[in-house]
Amino acid sequence: MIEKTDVVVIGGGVAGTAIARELSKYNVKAILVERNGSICAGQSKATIGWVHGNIALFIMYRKDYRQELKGITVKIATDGFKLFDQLASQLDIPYIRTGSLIMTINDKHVSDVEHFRIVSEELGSKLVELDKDDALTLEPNITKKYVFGVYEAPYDKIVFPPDLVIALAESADKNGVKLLQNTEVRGISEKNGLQVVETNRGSIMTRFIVNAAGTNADKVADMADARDGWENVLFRNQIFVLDKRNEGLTRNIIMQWPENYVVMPHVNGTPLIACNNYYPTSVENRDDTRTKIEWFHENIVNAQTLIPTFSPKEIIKSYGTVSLGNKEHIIEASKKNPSVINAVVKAPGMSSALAIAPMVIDILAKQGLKLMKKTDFDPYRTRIPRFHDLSDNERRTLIAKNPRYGHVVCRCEHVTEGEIIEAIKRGARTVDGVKFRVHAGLGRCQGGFCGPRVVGILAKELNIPVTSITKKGGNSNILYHETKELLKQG
Amino acid sequence: MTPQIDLVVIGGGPAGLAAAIKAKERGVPNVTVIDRDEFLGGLLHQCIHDGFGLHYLKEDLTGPEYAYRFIKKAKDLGINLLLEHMVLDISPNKKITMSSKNGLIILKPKAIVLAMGCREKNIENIRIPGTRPAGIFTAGVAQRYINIEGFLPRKDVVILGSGDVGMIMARRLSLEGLEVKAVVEVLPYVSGLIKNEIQCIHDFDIPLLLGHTVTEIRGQQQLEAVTIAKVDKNWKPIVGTEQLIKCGTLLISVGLIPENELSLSAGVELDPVTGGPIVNDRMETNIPGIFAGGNVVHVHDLVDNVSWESELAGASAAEYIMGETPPIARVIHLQAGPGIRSIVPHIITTEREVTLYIRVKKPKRNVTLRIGDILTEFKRMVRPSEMLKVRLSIEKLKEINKGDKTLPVSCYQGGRKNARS
Repeated sequence: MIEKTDVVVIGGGVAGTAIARELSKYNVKAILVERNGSICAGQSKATIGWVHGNIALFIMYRKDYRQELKGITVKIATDGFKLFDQLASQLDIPYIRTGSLIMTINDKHVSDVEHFRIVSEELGSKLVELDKDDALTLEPNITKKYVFGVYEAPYDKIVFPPDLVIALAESADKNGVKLLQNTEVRGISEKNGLQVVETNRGSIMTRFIVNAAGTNADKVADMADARDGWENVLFRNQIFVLDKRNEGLTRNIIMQWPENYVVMPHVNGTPLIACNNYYPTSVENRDDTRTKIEWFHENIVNAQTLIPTFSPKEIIKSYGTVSLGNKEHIIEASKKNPSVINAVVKAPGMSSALAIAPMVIDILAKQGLKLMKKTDFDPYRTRIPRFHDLSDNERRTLIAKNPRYGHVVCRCEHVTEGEIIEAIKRGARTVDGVKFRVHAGLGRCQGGFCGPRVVGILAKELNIPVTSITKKGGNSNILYHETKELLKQG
Repeated sequence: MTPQIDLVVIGGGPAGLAAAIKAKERGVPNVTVIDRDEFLGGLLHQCIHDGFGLHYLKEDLTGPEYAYRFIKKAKDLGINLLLEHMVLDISPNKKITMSSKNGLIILKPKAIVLAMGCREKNIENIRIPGTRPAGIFTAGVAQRYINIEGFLPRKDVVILGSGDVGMIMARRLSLEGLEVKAVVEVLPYVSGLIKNEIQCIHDFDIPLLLGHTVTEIRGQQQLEAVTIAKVDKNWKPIVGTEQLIKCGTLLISVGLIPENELSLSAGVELDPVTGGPIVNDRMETNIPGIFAGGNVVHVHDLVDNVSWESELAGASAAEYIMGETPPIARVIHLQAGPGIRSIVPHIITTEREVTLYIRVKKPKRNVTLRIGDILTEFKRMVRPSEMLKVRLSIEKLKEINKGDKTLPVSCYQGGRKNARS
């Protein structure tokens, strides 16, 4: 494959897809490349989906936080948060306005919570102070032992990050951006004034590159000699996903000081516990998302101090994350290589990315990309119907239109064959790709029932052998041989 | 339009089929079996090894053959068989909502038999640290891929857990030419049947590592290796005993969980020890008219017992539908005493004979099984993996004191062979 385009966006997370959608509003040719078998594979897959309305949490510990208050990070997060609702409406993204509680169970840390309140107010965020009784009325499952310093931010939202990322990607795709999954950038060079992006599936000649590769952005920037002295700082965390029968465990997103534990509801009904250990990790280990046994023990004990009834038996999945701990987003054209725009987005990513996307467009324009707005840009997109969420009558209507929407394949999440086929039509090529788009395999049995069926449907719809179906792209094949094949080889 | 159905059996595996057949034979006019798969027989369909029916049919059959006996009978009796139908919900008043390509259907039967079986514990339930590459399967899923879909996973297999499915798969994979490098079991003994330990592991010279566990998984996209370590008596890995085993496939066979999400939606009360409904000696749950049988109640090791137990559920459902439910003669709660993990049924309410299915906590030699004051039985060997079956005849049950509300069951060291009372 040799392609020629105007912009290559490297990275299919919330940053890359938001930028791709923004680009799709203009008459430019753009290609997004994602190395994993499915978009939304890096930080965006691992993050908990807390859409922050108040970013005091992100700046309050800086000595110079007062300077931050009018700074770019705050502006980006605030603008992004404002863009969220309209985008969710246009792109049919489910979300819930839960609100968040910031609290401590240790009276020594009341001053931290107080500091949070002060910074919040300076940011213009309205908080509601709750006394212990109010807090326990709102949240009956949290510890009654010590509850100090509680503030509620009533406007925070939760989203399932893949829902947001995939919606952005579908919109970009609908409006002409080419999305290439399973396409890893191996090298970047220059030829005749153009950037040549070498991938495992061929080269792309392009005028500009947008580096939205998150925790791999430094590596990508180095390929293009486009890293102007910045470095990624990385840290690791662990997240527990609880069984759906714990739905309603907390009403709010609850963040506890000083451990920074977050217990929160999920759009899907499966509460999450984010064990924000912030273990530092080096850039050499940027892809190391392994979980460690020591973390389990520590995290379970800590979670129990906040939720006394929490039992590790309720964990249906736990996973490790690697995230950017950079002080700032990096949004700039590289001085060393002006054809590369670095868009390294850190937390809060779900909101910030939405405001960063138009900023990247501005930078591209300044760098010489002619941007003419399309007259036929379609801002809308409807999500794949989710059988699980529909009423009985809605289900009947759906099945009447397409009987495959009556054939339930994922037992735990009630995902139908119709949804899985539609996910494949819209770009899912791997088992995980199907999982993130329609949730088959996300539930308590973790694909025990639906797994073989999803593999079969993928093979059939894509008209490829079952043995070439992968979990997440690359060489993550599920099955390798037909029965008796190895005996014949003898 | 809601078709009038007398009995709905949820699950078309050995339990569901046995219950449906018995109910039909007892005169229930309209019996419907619902299954989510494309074929009947449940997991029997993928159990191509033999050993099924040795007791119930006095024959040695493979899983599909055993299932076929019941499938044929069900068809001959005119039982309605709905395949690829998923029950989404059961309400406490027995309203069933199910979905299929034909649409969303609501049924309001007079009685229900729950026969949903169980699901496998997966790698997340046991929280093995490390990466999550492709190549990790629960043993039952691997069995489905191989025996039904016709595909093999990658060479060089490690099996974590010595449950029956895992051991059966050790043999199956060996017969397909994949090397099974080890079966790793945290207990000091095999957790499945001894028969399988011999026929699947030792007969194939597969290394069996008792008192060990997998401590880490390695490989980003595809599985590359696992580290295993010896464990202490608290199942904690002993530092310094770690070894790396290169492998392409990891099978997990660490236990089964009765699948009772639908039971909960109906308001059925569950026993936290078995994970299944609390049932009386008519296999009825706390909801009148909702019965249960098979692995959904408690995990069995022999399908023969599943058939017998579920027939009782079907017969009781028939009684209920015909208005012939016997009056409650008494209420006696079975109590798990020392050495006993679980007893099914949980409650005796009739004066009929009762078969108790008992699981002990630990393997022990030369023990006495004691049931109240009415029965003691010497056992040379008891194992958690081998369910004990004790028949309490009508006469025996008459020996229970009239005032007694409980019947304790215990298992203790000692006693003599041939000592039986």
